[in-house]
Amino acid sequence: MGTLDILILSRLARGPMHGFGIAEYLHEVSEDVLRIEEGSLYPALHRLEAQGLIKSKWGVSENNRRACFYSLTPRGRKRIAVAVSNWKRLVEIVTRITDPLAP
Amino acid sequence: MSFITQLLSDLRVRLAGLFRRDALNSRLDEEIRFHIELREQRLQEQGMSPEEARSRARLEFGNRVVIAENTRENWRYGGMERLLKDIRYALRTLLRTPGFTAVAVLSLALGIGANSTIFTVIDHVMLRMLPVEDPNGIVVWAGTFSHPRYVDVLGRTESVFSGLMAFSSLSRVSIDGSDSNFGEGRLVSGNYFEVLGVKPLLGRLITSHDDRVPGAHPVIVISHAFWQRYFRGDPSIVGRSIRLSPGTLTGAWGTGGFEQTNDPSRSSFSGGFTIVGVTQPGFFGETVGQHPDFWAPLMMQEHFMPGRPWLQRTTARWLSVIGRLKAGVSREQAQAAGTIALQESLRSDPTANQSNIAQTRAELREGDKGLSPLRGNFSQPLLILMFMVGVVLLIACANLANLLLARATARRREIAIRLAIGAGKRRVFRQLLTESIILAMLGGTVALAVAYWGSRTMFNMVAEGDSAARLNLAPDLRTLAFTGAVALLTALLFGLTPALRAVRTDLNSVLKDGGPAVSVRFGMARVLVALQVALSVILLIGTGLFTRTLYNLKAQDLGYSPERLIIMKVDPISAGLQGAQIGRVGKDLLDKIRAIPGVRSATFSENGLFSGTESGAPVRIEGYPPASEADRRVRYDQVGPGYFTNVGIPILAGRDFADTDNAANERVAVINQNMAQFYFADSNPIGRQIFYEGTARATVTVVGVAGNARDHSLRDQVYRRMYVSFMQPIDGLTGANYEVRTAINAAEMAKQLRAAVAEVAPEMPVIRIEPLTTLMDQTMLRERTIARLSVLFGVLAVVLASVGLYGVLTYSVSRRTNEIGLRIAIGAEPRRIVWTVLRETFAPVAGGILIGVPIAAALSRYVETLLFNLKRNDALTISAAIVLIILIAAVAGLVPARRAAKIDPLRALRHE
Repeated sequence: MGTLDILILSRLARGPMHGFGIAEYLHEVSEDVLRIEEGSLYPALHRLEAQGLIKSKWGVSENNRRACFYSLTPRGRKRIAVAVSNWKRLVEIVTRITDPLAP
Repeated sequence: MSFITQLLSDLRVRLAGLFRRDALNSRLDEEIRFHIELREQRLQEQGMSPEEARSRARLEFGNRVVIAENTRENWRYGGMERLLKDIRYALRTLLRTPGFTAVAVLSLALGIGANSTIFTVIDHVMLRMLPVEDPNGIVVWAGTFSHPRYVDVLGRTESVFSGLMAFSSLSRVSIDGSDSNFGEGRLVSGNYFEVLGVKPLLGRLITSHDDRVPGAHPVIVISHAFWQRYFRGDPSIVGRSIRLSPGTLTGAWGTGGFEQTNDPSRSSFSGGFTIVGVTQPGFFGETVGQHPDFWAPLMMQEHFMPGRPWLQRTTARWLSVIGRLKAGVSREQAQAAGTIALQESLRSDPTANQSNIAQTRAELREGDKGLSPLRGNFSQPLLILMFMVGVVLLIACANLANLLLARATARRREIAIRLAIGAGKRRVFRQLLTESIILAMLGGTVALAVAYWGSRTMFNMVAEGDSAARLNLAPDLRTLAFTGAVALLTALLFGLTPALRAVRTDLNSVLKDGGPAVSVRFGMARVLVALQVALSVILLIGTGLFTRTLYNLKAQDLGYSPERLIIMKVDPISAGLQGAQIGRVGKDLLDKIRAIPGVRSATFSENGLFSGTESGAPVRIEGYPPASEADRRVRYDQVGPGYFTNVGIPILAGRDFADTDNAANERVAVINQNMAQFYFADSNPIGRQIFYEGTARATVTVVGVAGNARDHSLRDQVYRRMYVSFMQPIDGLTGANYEVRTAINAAEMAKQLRAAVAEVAPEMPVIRIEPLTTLMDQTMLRERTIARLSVLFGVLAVVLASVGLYGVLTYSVSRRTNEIGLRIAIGAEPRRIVWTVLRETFAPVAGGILIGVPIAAALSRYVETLLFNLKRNDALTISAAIVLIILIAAVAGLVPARRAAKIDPLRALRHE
């Protein structure tokens, strides 16, 4: 699972959101470090939906416009939990290896 | 679980992708528009000018066209589309090799079709529930009842049955006075439909109000099919009248020995019945395989069987009884209650034989599947046939697996290239399996046609001689589901291994050259051929056993010649004849028949030969103390003068019946050899007396001993039998058969016989005129059916197996063209080449025989009861099967072997 997928899923773990909101979130958390074209979010969203990890539903946005809201499916929820714990383990290992002060 | 949910969600999205492309497109457009506009808004809020915000928002979003295209990629090539692509590709590939495809589809169609055929018949005869309300509550009371007994037992069993109904079959009822338009019907008690729990389509059904006064309820309910056929579905049918005239009763016995009364109502009642209702389509009553056209109240019995006033007779047992259990009552409880009720009923009846009431038991059978005249006789054969067609299908599967293996080898390059350019192994595997499934489905589709035709033909075969038997065998959902399931299973069976093998290819070796791996494939092929041979041997042994059984039955010595003997059955009772009149008319008719030119000899008997009716009674003989009741029982028949001479049964001692053995003289009897030996041992029976103690009593003097003759069954032993003169009837005469030995052809003789009856007794119905050989064949129906079908399936198995063997050898020869060419070039003789190729078949054929014979020997246990005069491990049958399979294998192998011998060495080597 790619980084983008993990980021999308972890945003959706907090609740349903439309594409723009997810893009905003990505900017926010990455402090603009992760520079991606915003549009590349959409192929990822549709792919995740085709995989049955997320589902979409029409809703109303905060500025009262019709928008497509994505949310996690139970399978997506399970997947992100596994992915996050794997990620954490990886980070831990990499940190251990790269940190000269570590025992 | 999660796998299934994933599959479902996947399917949902992919289906959406396939069918809702437009919806998805507009959704994506809207999402993108929404995104860009919102970004624009945010940027303006941050202080950008509208133009700047606009271009910045677009820039940050990226290339819309490319992004939309990338997104669509996720919908395209979804499972569904991939499947469609696979199917298209598979069809293209299959069409490129029409020969292979035709052979594959044809052998599958035969294999699957045979299975669907037998399944359809099994389903109808053995599996289906009656189309009635809650069939599980229905029980069938074994045996037959008289009407008074039924009414009495009904009143005594109300605690266990919510209803107990009675019915009797009517066949060949003439409709509206027609000579050619006959209907099948039922006489039913008033609660018949209530017990079955069915509703009418139109009007009403027969109720207890139609079941009160004998002869006073001329109403009928007609079947949906009859309504459609005869009345073209006329909606105003209720209230119409239809004329029904007497037919013959089927299946009643023990009705002899009463004085007949003339029914005054016969002349006053014209036979007009009012149609009160039509049953639902699909309802056929209580018997599977029979489709009555109408149902009439029991009270109308004598109209349909004139001269037989049975409603009041306790000795006329003509009713079958079916009950519905009360809620919470088990079959065993009802059976216990039924036994008590039956015994009480018999005790309270002075006319009943009181001696063995305590042994009388009620036997209730499960009735959820209704009655079936075929089920008892054909359940075991049908299961055996199902096994046989299963084996045929396995052979077909092995064939296909072999063909596919060969094909996969031929396609190794193609598959390797596909794998090399990045198609996943799973993808290629799925593609190959799709091909197999398509083959199986094509085969399955043709199989449905085979089954449609086959099940009809087969049902007509087993229901032969039963004009009332009809089944709606059009393939329905159940057949469809079965065929589909079998086809799919077949595809997996023959497709899985070749597909797995194909994708396990070592790319490098294949792409470099043709590659080895041939020997591996060929090893598998040999195993498959061995399997086919084993299965064929099993079927051939079965076929041999059944054919020899039929042959043994046919070769049975009857004790007389059945050739050119015609049996005519007439019904004097429904012609209104009674008592001594029957004998007088019988004698007149006999004289008339003897005068017909072309008749060599003719005689009379009550029960006839192989005609289905039989009489038995206890006898007492002075000086013979019986050890059991069974020792007192003999079969008997009432026959005409010169009976033994005319039929051709030798008289061993004493004399045949003569014209003088009539009412004016002493009662005489002829006994068969078995009876003479059993009761009189070595002493001379001539002149001894026999005390007949059946429903009537009489003393007869033995005047002759006749040879043992088989006259009712080819399979049974010859019973002790006694004959008396029909002009000195002991027990009244209930039937009349004429045995006519003819010098001219049967059809012409039948015409003459009818004319004779019309002249002597125009009122008397002729029930049938058949050559004795036809009647004998009918008693061998089961054996003939199994023998015929097992020959068919055996041939099918052998053909499929030899095609398989032929294919494997042909393939092997083509692979070895170079080697063989080289051998020929260095001087090998053609005969040696043939031998080399043939030798390849030895191991698989021998292996197959070694596996097949013990399995067949073990399985033969299940068919033992069906065999006749044959051990189940009959050495001749087994060796014949072995020789046959070796011969067939040799022939199948010889063609490719000779082709190999004719290989032109120059061409073969240049080929390199």
